[in-house]
Amino acid sequence: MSHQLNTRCTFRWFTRTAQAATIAFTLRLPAYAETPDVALSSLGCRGCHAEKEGQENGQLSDLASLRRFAPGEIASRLRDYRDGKRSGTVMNRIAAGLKDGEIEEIAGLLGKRP
Amino acid sequence: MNPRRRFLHLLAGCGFGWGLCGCTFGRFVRRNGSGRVVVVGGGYGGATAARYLKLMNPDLTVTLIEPRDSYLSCPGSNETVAGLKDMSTLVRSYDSLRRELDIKTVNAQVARLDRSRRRAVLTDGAEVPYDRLVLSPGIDFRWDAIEGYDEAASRTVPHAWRAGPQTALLTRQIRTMSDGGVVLITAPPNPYRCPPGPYERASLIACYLKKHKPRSKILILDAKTRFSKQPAFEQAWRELYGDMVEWISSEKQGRLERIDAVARTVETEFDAFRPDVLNVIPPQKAGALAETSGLTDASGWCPIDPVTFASPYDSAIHIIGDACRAAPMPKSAFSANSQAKVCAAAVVASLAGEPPPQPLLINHCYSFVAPDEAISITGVYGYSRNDGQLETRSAGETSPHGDRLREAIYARAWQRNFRTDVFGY
Ligand SMILES: Cc1cc2nc3c(=O)[nH]c(=O)nc-3n(C[C@H](O)[C@H](O)[C@H](O)COP(=O)(O)OP(=O)(O)OC[C@H]3O[C@@H](n4cnc5c(N)ncnc54)[C@H](O)[C@@H]3O)c2cc1C
Repeated sequence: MSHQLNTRCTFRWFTRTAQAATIAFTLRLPAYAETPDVALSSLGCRGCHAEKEGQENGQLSDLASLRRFAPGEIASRLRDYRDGKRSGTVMNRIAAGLKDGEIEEIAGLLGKRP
Repeated sequence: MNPRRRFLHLLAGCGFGWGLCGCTFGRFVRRNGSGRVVVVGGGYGGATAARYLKLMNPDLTVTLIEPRDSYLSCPGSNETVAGLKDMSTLVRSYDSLRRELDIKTVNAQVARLDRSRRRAVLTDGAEVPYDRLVLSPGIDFRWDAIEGYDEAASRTVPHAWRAGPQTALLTRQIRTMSDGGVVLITAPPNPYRCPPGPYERASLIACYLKKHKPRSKILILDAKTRFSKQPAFEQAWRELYGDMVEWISSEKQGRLERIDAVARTVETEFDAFRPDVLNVIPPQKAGALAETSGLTDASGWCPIDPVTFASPYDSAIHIIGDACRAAPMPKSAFSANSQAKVCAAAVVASLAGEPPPQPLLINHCYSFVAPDEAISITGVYGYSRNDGQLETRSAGETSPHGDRLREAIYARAWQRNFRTDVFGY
């Protein structure tokens, strides 16, 4: 999110909340972006799907092999996990925490590079 | 380039995979944000933070202060207790962080933080100055919580809740116990390090006893009335170990009143036990340094801002891992790792004078119930702007009839991959 956009969002958010009766409380909250940063979020995935720079996963186990897949394929799998069309062990539960736009962007970051 | 784009480039633009390739990687990093970051504690939280700080901005001077020359992993240590693994498999080296990322490691203990002068003071009096400090000291035990169980008592009655000599002591006691003996594990009240840990331990000890001392028994005396992954654990115990494992809720036994480490007895409100092996997992709090530095609150843990992991008491100090209070995230190595990345991004942004990116965090923890069977618990956490706290976006655990064989394959892969993500090898 750009600085400008960020400021605008923050401003909108501020006026909205200022209208509410909870000004004193909300003023204390820092003005953070409205949506999660997808690139930062994708780093969470690396707790299992680790990636060792320069190795392209060659020496890591199966769990790590996301770079082998095209982003579109990862995205459709994530959606299928989330929507219960594909059964897995843990990925159904994790995908359930992701929204549509996030799935596409995260898949783009983790998948095969052009 | 705006911060979010910069991050995307940082990750995706680098043709070599994201990481070490300083030059390629550096192309996407604004070099206006150099500074000295000191990371205290080289466990899962601290090591991840040091590594990602350097990956995100190679210009930072990152110093990792840790008293041990290598780390001993708690994940995997219950397998050691059950004789499935050697202690050496728990060792994690800092070599790759040092060599590949130019992270300075200082082999020392921080005695105190001089917050007004922004210095970490080591036990020998040396001072390490910082612009930002990341603190990941893990846990300490509340030695005053159970009558009769203090640090001295733990030398004969182990907690084994930090990997090392304690793990070896418990392993030895299980090994030398005679067939028909009773192992009693006391499980602490929430919150504590690794909520499913005591039950994984009970499962794996049962696996060892079933094979070598089949007339023995394991009792879990719990300070709680329910526990993490309970249905899946109980199903596994029934299927694999019959009635060898017995869980005793605090509803049934009441409070743990006192322990006599010499006589090896445990008294509760309603009963008394004299097991052959006693494993007391005491109530916990944030690592001592957090407390003596004035970073904890009445709960004994460190409050934090969940977007930056900065302390509300000191904006130059960020606390991650077990020591921080990041509910609803549990205290796990996975949580510490996920928090460390969020914290690193916030530190890099703040040193560059930019706002921090908003996070999504993940926890995902496996527990072995047998050498080749595992269950897991998972959570995805977002930031709620309404109350300034983390909120659970999705959560779940292995069902009692889940695919435990398959999860065990992933659990092993996780142990390897996680080491790579944290320690870089
Ligand atoms: C039996 C068991 C099994 C577990 N299994 C799992 C699992 O399967 N998955 C999972 O996700 N989690 C698991 N955990 C939990 C996991 O071990 C912790 O949540 C994790 O280690 C927390 O990381 P941390 O960085 O907060 O603390 P730690 O890993 O404890 O690291 C803290 C470090 O700080 C150092 N330190 C402390 N004070 C100072 C000081 N004053 N100066 C310098 N250095 C200092 C210590 O030496 C230590 O190395 C398990 C825990 C146990 C006990």
